[in-house]
Amino acid sequence: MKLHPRLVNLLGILLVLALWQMAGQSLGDALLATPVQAAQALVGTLSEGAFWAALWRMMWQMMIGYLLALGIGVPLGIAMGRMPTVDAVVKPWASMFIVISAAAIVPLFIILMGRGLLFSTAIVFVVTVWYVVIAITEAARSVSPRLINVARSFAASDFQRFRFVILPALHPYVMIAARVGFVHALRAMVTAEMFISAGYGGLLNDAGLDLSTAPLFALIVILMVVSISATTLLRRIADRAAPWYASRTQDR
Amino acid sequence: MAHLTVSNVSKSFGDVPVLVDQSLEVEEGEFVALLGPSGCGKSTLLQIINGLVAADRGTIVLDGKDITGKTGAGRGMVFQGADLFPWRTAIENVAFGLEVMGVGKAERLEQARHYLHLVGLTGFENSWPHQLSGGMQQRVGIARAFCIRPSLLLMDEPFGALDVQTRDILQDELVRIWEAERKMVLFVTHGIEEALYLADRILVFSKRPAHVLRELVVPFERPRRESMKLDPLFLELRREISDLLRHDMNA
Repeated sequence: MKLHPRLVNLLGILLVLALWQMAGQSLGDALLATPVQAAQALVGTLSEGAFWAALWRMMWQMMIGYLLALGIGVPLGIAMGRMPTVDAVVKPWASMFIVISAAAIVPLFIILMGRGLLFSTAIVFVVTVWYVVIAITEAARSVSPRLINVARSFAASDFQRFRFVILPALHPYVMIAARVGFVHALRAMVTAEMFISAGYGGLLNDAGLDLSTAPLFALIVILMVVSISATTLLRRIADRAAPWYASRTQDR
Repeated sequence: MAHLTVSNVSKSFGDVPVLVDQSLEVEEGEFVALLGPSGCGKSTLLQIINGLVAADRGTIVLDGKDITGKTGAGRGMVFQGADLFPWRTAIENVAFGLEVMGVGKAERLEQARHYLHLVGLTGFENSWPHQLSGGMQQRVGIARAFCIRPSLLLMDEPFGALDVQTRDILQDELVRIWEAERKMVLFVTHGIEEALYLADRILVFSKRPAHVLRELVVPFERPRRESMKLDPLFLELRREISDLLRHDMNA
């Protein structure tokens, strides 16, 4: 018997929810709220004005840092992938900074920048940009030299080789970097807000002190939904913008 | 009048000499095959003529202009593995050369459509390369080279990666297209039969460093037909070249 993949997906989710429900019922909601309790808390959270304000604050501040990371990370990655000198200068720093988690640098950034927009944006940027840089560097380095030779043999100038070969070859990888970068940016933003007890991170802090774990689960589920929706949207955009890549990889 | 003169080209990779003092001429409308064992340096010679590889010494003159070390300018190249741009549809791949030259979109697509039709791919204009078979991809590669209307067509083992049946079909197609639009062709191959079937003249190259062992004018009339491959003279020439190459390899 062959099951539809979506059905298998759904069955897997239901199985985990059932196990969670059983574990929650035996442990009690102070330790582990059940999915049913979390769902009830979710409905309550969604009806609060403060929640929406916090979500909005987190999203727009994060987007600034995220878009900056893409805007600087993509060109820097291309330069590193195509120019050995730039790579030699930047690569050691990239390899070092990429291992630093948001939590490790937040205290320093608070001292340097206070607790305002500059602080959150800077944390998101510093954590996200290196993932973008490393991904794009690898992609730029592996652009097919044969295709570049084809362009050369048709007398394409440096600029034309960049415009007609390197940029289109990188396009799918930029979209992948945008997806991976979004997840890192969101995580960094939440961490930063938890330290300064503001916005969505602040709500998470407060929920953590609650007697029931249900509101905390509700907030975490919302965060997951935000992340999955954003990456799904980015994937849709990528498929539409690079149909050749989408149709070549759809069977996998 | 179209004419290619290659004079005294030498090339080494590090300490390994690949070409020593090689010269050749191609007349207007002539189909010349460069035949030799794999890795002998004939492809390098083609890339030097194309301008992708710089020669250590020597000059390339096409239609009276010195084009040594320059790409473009009158030459269209067909690559071994077709090497189409995966992000361009078939028609956009064919139009690539014209786009680089700055030809307007409507004009270049019309030209590309014409050449796609000529290679028998009408209806596949908007297919992505990965949706085409190897033989169809190479048809697009041939159309791409023809589309810039070069006076010299350079082909680097264009059918080397294809199965025998597809290769036979594409050889006939190439002859048909070329007879409709005669231009100079330099065709690199290690297939003796392929060289005899396609070319007006064959330059048989030695092992590395490559030099011409023998120059052979192919005595068969055009248009060529599949049946000539069974002609006693064809078989005789095939064996002669085969012996020549084997003798050279063992020398």
